[in-house]
Amino acid sequence: MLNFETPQAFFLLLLVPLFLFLRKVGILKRIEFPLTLGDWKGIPFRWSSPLMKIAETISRILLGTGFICTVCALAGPVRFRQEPVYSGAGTSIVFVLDVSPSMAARDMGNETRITTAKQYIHSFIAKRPGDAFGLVALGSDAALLVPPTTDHLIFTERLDSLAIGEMGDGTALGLGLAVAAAHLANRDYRSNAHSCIVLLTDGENNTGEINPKTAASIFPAHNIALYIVGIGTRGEVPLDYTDPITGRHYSGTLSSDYNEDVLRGIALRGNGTYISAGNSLALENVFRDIGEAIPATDSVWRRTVTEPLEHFVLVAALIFFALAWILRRLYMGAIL
Amino acid sequence: MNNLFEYPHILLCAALSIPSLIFFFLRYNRIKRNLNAIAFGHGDNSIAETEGKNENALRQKKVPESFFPVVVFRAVCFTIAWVLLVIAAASPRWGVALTPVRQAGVSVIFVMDISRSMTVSDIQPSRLQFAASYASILVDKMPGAACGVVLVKGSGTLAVPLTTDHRSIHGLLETVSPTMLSAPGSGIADGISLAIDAFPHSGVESKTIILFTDGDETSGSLEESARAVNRAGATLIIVGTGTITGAELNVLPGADEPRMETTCLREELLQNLAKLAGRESLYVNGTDTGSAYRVLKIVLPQQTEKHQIVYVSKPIYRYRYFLLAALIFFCLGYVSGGRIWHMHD
Repeated sequence: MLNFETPQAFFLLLLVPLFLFLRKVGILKRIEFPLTLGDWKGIPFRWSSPLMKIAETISRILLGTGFICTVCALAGPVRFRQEPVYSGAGTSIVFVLDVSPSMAARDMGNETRITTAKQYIHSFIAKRPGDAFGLVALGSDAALLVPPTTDHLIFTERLDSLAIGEMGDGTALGLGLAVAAAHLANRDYRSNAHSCIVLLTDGENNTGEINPKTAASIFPAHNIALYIVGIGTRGEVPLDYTDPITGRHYSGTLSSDYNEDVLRGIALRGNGTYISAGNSLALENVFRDIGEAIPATDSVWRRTVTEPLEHFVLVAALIFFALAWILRRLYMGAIL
Repeated sequence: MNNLFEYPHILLCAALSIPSLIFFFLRYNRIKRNLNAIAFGHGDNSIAETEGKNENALRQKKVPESFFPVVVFRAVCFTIAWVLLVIAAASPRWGVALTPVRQAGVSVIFVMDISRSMTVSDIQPSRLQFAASYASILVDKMPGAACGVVLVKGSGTLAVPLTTDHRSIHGLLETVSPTMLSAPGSGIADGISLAIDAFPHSGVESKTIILFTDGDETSGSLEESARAVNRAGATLIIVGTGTITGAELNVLPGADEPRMETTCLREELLQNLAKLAGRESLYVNGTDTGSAYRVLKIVLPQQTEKHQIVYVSKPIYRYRYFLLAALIFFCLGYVSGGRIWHMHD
């Protein structure tokens, strides 16, 4: 909502009609004098170029607008907006993202599995400004890349920079779940805070020292909700990726086949949910369902933020005055 | 300059008045010569020559004497008005006003100086390990507080964003070492400004920056960063790490012949910084008994109430003074010029 801190300043606009009135009654005069040029006994030369008249009108409009902008800035234009305030004591969601080479399979429309997953994570966090998000990457190893934080910028920057093969070419599901759980388990001091882990993978556990079911079994005790999302289709799928360590490019066909029952079993052990997302639309629905199931953090209160706008109005005034100067001096030939 | 103006780059527009004045005086002189030539028959005859050779005649009135001073007066008024308008657009500010702000919870960013001078062992086991252990103890004493870590060496990097996951903080503090960043030097100022940016804009937690350093700053402006802490409504707590007598450090570790220099805790500089940061900002020597208690006393009282009102200092913007002066000169140029002209004509 636009408002003015000192609206009395608008009375200064009355200077314009006053100025015109003083001109009209002859108290003020233009700084000019007649200098008639013409042939001997001929018709005096008159400056009646239509372009000059248009330029004169435009320059007056520019000067007038510049003056109005200046007065407007003096009135202190401000915009009030309501901003939700979050305390950071809300829901924590850790995404465990599989970055094994098979996630480069291009079977989610025209996109790879990992790109599609990243896109939906982006849109998911954008709808939940008060929640804390964490990121665990898993391959043949697993690591916490971002602890649960409300600094969404840091989270998205790290998510975007995450590359296929960064954590090796295996799938250590158990290790990934254990790392995520380790960083959520110490949130017990707040009973009202929700904790959730979303595992996005396209394969079975084939490496790592921790059995995924063992890792999942600690979730109920710490009141951590678990969602396992199986991404991708079955059968032959095109694959195209560059190994970030060796720089070698891989291109070909992947025989995509994983046992959903195993993932379902892990989810069951952690009192969680397994959802299969064979295409982009299904993945969108999965994120929508998760969003509905996990309550978003409410704002503690809303605060009114006053946003001053005088800087923009003044810059506009400077532009109008500069344009008027250029037009009058360079085109119309005025001295000042 | 950056302190005085919010948009200092706008001030460059004031320089436009110089070419415009040059343009004005060049044209003014040319027209003055030509008009005098027309009026009195001497001077530059270029107009008469160009306007129609010998066939044209000029019928004119004598140029009034007040014409030229009035034009100059108006030019000066408009130039001053332009400069004042530019200054106003740059948002000048000075002085501070206390503004009430509602706060709930605690957020703390640890800024760890990991420059090579922090590897010196004038306190055991080394300055850096002492600082890391000290920070770990503080984290343990702040359950529920959102904590983050900024590492500084040459420049700053946000190693852990604000999180209530204290395990991540401990994990980093256990492994912190100068090899984590490759840039030489210290860069504490950069680290402090990074810490200020790490606090969420829409958060309500109190903002505290705890800096662990020996004060051996080699780049950046520490004073300016301390003032920035004040402007951001944060509190700066500096934990001095090291001894006044100091210890020797090989400043050329890769060279064949070592060059030893003494590095010591620069307490005076750090105390001055804490003073500049204002509010409840504090300097403590990490080796002093009860120093951690003093730090926690600053950080933790804000947790006792669920919500509390605190006062933060905000700069007072003064653009109105310049704007009003610009309007006065603008009107003066228009009105006085026309009036003087009217009286003399």
